[in-house]
Amino acid sequence: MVERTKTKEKVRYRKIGGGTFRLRNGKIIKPNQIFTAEPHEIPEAFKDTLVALDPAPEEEGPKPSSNKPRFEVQFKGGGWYDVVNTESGKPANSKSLRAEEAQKLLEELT
Amino acid sequence: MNWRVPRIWEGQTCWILAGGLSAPRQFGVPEEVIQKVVERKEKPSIYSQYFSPIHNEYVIGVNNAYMIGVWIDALFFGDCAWYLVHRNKLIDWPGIKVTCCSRFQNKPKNKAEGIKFLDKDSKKRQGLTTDPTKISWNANSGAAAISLAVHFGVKRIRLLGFDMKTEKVQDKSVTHWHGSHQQPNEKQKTPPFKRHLRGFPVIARDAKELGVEILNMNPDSAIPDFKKVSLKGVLDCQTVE
Repeated sequence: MVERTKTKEKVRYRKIGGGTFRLRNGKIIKPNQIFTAEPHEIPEAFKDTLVALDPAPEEEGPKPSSNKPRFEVQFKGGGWYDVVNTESGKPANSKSLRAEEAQKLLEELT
Repeated sequence: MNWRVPRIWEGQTCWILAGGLSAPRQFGVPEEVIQKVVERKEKPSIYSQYFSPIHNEYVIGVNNAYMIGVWIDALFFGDCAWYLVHRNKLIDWPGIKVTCCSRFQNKPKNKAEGIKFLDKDSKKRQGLTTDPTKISWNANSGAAAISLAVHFGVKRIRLLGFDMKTEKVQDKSVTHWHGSHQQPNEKQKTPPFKRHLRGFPVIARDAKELGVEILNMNPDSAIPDFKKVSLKGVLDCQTVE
């Protein structure tokens, strides 16, 4: 699930490749020109001719709903636990942990 | 809030997989496969099977290395622009994601997208900071990842793809096994290797003081500060151990 929200933060872009284009506010952008614009001012057809030089506003574009490391505490036996990456199956910890330590590490990693 | 790196790999060996061409070559990836990945006709995950000798090791991937496989335990990137390109792909990547990109500074956990932030240590720009909430940036992500490995508590570090120079792939000059960081229609740039090299002598000195052994798996690397060894030799030794 992704959600899309708008922002009014300006971003610095650089025009790459040849050709010019016009922003929605009428400003003409030439090759290699660095300019600032709000993301919604960029015509869709020209988005792939631009490189964002600043971190884009985080709200722009599809927003990850669950971009978290995936770990879980697994019981090893004898009162010992591992914090395991659920996709790779590899424990994050090199030495097994007590339950409380494992829970603390889980919180630190996720 | 800055992350405090937990010492989860205390006393262990860690491999750091950076972008140099030597990494897939050391693991015997055929040149035609490398060429396809460089030209973006194949995904980096095609390398994964060749890296099987380190699948069960502790591995930090630098930048695009996370794309090789989920067996890479942690990702380090420093460049905010790189993150913007990879943001959506990182959603599905399950490992530990660490950065010093300032957009994550002071981000509440629920807005940090699972990315852990370490500040660049302004008092220790080169070498290896001992503050587990910071990294020594050393002007490049690969060198900064060494700082992260030390925070994890490792005592032995194996560097893969730390070439710091261009290599030829089918007569074309190439800087990374995944192709350029630039977009296909953007002018290709050679990374500032000279600047990247400046931090390594300090890293080597600090590592010695901290009792951390660093080996460079590329005998032809432009980094002169770490002992260079062959991958085969190291893997054979590990088997014996």
